[in-house]
Amino acid sequence: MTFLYLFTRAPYGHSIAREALDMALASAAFDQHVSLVFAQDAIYQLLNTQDNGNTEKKPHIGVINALPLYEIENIYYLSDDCTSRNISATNLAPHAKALSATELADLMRSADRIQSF
Amino acid sequence: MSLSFALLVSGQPCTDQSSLTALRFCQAALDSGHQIYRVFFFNDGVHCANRFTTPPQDEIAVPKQWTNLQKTFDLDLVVCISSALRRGIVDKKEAARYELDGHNLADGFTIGGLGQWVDACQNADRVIRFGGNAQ
Repeated sequence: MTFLYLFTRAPYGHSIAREALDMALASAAFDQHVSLVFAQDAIYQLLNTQDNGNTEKKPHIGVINALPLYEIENIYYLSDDCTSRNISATNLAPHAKALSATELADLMRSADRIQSF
Repeated sequence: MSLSFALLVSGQPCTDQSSLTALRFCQAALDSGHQIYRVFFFNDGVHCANRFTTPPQDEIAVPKQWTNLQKTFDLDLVVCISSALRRGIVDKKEAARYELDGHNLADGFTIGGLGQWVDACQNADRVIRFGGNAQ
């Protein structure tokens, strides 16, 4: 079954970003086909320059970097979010790929289960 | 046509209307002849399973309502273990494991892993989440 997780939250500030990512990892661990889309503020979850110093939370980028170990290879962000937030793709986790809004729509159409967090 | 539903409850019961909406949805679906495959409590939704919840007498205690609904329909109510332990929701077994001086998991709930949610997503006809992304 194809699971699509659509994330929209920044990495720190609310526990749902981290706990939902754990859910995605569990789906992959149970042999499901998993795609992750980091839309809107969730693009900050992919920043390889993020600083968790004052949050007293574990660094989010650790899980992001571990995604390929869980055989999660379909990791996406939206090109529009890069532009509107003035983020350069070179500052994002290297295994994440850009999607256009049309490509996102196609991805959503092809998924069996879509969950947004 | 009869459908089976998997519900994810992620809203805090005192703060957020979503868990009561989930409860009403369950009741309505079952009354209409549908099945609830599983209700999975995740993130702040795990507070729905806290039997120590003690609102004023003229307010609704959400955990009690879930316990009653579970009894009536033999529902599978599963609380995510990682969400629960972080928030101090524990059953007898976990209380013993972590040497805590009490346990508060309400009757009718069980503690389980995210695998049970993945299983519910695979086997139910529809997946519905109750509890929005509070900003």
